[in-house]
Amino acid sequence: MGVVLRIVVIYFVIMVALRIMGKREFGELAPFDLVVLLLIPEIVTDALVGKDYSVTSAVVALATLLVLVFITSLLSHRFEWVGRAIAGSPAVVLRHGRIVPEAMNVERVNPEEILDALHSAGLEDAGQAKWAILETDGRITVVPWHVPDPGRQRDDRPIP
Amino acid sequence: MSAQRPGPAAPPPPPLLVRRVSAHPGQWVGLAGLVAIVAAGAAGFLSHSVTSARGQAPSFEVVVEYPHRLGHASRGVIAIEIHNRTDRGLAGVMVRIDPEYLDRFVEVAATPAFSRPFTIPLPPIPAGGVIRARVDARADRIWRASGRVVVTAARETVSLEVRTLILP
Repeated sequence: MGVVLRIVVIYFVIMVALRIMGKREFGELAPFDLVVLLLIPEIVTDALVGKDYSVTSAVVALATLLVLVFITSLLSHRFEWVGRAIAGSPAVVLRHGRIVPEAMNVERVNPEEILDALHSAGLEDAGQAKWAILETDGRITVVPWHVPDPGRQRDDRPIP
Repeated sequence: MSAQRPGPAAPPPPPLLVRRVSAHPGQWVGLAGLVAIVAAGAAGFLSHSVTSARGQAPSFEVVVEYPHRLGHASRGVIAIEIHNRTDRGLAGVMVRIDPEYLDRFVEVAATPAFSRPFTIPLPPIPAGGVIRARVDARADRIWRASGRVVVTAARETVSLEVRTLILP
């Protein structure tokens, strides 16, 4: 019972903790995030397996974790509210070319990060974007006013 | 390009889907297997457990507590308790554990210490008193360890079978 219970408790604690931390913390790994990610297993290892280093204990722990992941995935898919509770909802951080300060402050998104995302989408400035959305996995997706026409942008001529 | 064009206040919602719980048949089979492992683990069938054996002679009673199941490389304790049932002191008390049993363990240590391999001499037990010995060991060889714990005193013997399943 011990290993199963410990895995269930730690799983839900980490799930709730990451949810509280917010989308940005683990969307892109900054050095600080990497430190946190490396420390979490170090902290919880002993709590998970105690002093039982047998393969049997590891198999039970792994099976418990996989069952929890599968059940969480099933419930998230079946019930929208469960998915929202676990993963959160996307947040609009730029609307019609204008930043949404409330959302940016709540989600701790910097203007520089929006500019990075705009540049990655091939845009120069915020006015060219219809939406910038902070997705539930921490990525920023940019939707331009017009989807660029690849045929117009592509230039196969050799560079002189 | 202007940013001031009219448009909806929020991006369009995702397409509607009738949500169902569904998976490939193989996934259900795999999930059932995993759930069975978790259930066995939760029920304690795959973790450390302790049991006891009890026996008595006219002069004394013995209770041996030992690991019934033990994970490989985990430490287990065999605790032996001897009760003097007489109204006089009981001398010459000896505890011996079968080498076949302890062969499956390493780092075997006894309190009081072994006088010779796997034999523990104990001091006299006062009338109605209790004396305890313990053996600490780390499980090493996987599968079933079985043997006997034999306690002798006043030319009487109590022999108790101990069996430990050492899980991989």
